[in-house]
Amino acid sequence: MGERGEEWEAVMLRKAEEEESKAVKKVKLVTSDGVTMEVEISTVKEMETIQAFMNATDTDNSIIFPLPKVSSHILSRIMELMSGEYDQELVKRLSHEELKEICMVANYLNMKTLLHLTASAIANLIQNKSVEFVRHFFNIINDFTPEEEVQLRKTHEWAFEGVDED
Amino acid sequence: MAGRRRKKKREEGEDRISKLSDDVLCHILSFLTTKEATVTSLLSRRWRLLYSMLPSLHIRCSKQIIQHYSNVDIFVAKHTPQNITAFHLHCDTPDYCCAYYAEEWVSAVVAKKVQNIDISFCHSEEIVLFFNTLFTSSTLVTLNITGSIHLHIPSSVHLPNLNTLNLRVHSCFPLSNLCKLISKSPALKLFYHRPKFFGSQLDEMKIVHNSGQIQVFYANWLCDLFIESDGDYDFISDVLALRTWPKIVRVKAYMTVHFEATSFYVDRILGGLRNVERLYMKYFRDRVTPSHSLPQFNNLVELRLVLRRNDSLFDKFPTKCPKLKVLEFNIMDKLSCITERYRFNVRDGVRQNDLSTRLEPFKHRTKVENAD
Repeated sequence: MGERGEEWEAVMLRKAEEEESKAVKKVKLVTSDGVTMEVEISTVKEMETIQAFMNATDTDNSIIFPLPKVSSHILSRIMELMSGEYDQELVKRLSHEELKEICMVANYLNMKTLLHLTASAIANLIQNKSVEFVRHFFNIINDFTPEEEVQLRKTHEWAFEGVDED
Repeated sequence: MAGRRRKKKREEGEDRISKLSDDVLCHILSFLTTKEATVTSLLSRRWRLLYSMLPSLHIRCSKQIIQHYSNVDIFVAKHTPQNITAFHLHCDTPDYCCAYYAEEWVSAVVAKKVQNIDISFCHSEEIVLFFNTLFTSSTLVTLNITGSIHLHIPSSVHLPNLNTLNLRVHSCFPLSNLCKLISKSPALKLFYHRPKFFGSQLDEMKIVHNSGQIQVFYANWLCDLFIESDGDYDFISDVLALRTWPKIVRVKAYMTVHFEATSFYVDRILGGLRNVERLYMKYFRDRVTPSHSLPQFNNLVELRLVLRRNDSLFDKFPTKCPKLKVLEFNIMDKLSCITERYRFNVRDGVRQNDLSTRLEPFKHRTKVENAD
């Protein structure tokens, strides 16, 4: 009984050590502007795109992951949001450009919580706003002819009732 | 994405937003009402049809839609993809406008294999609604209905994927079909019902069904009742069948009586619980001599009483329990404050040994009190 107990203790010890070495392991993210950011593996867990890549390679060496679509500024903003547990207040402080950029990156890296949060924040911003406001917000160029626009307004007449044009 | 390449020559800003894929834009639009999402069709050619790809409908008021489309079906056909996942109808006007069309909406979205339905009305006058196809939907996962509604439940029910059922309505009728609704929903994990007015046929009730464990929480202004079974003993149909539950056997029941002078009601509930195995009862009453006509508790093996000091139930109750093995007395001098506790092993009706010194902290006390 005693022997067995020790055996188990050893196994547990080894497991704990393994966990520890895993936890310490870092991932290097290289941003579009050439900055290398070292992050803990737990941070990467939420980035499903990277996680899938790591699961596929299963290497013991530290991993370098290039992010050609993400600037260091945006990545550090994302890290702030993650460490702040996606506080709504932090999201409110972002500029419109940052918000859109982060939403795009969240989709690219498949970060579900962040995508949900930023998408709903954007929805809040454009809610009950005029068509012109939303075009400006998304930098959309109106490529309809005036006739087409009239036609569309007619088709969706019900939806334009009570919408202020400013 | 062909669109992206075409737009590349345009100014930098345009290119940036076009990097937001249609999926992401749809995700953003899914937080808007259907009306707001439809307005975005005017932004540019790229946005023209995005609204119609959204797998959800969020309707705030049907009035304008009905004025422009002759019926709900035509609107749903034009506005949604082949299948939709969610339908929200939240009408906060005091008119009937949406309640009138609710049946049409539901039948249209059920035909589109909807998974989540959330309906709430705030008009105060009562209305009877018949959602016939809803109760045989094979895709429905969650159903929330709130409002001054009398909900008709058809006799034919089959909801294989229903997980959450939340009804805050005036009444469900017939009540026997509500029982059927629950028993014919094999995937049901959570059922919640709260009547919108006093004196409903069914009081507030919550059923939680998780990996073999079933918990029923039943409450009204007189009493709280919490029943749980550890195993896969499915007592739900028996719970719903009547307002008393004599068929329930292998469960633990926790009962808290809130008000004095309701002996008729207490008698009836105790009568319903007469076949359970474990019972915990908390009752702080002014009159310590019972008018209660206690039935025989032939299956009861564990009885825990929380009563006022000198309550005659302390003596009377154990004599009705021939199989009793564990007996616990908790004495209250003030409401919700246990001053003394005694625990005994019982054999053939005789208290064998006093276990009072080896008492663990009272596990279930918080559970019952939290249930408020």
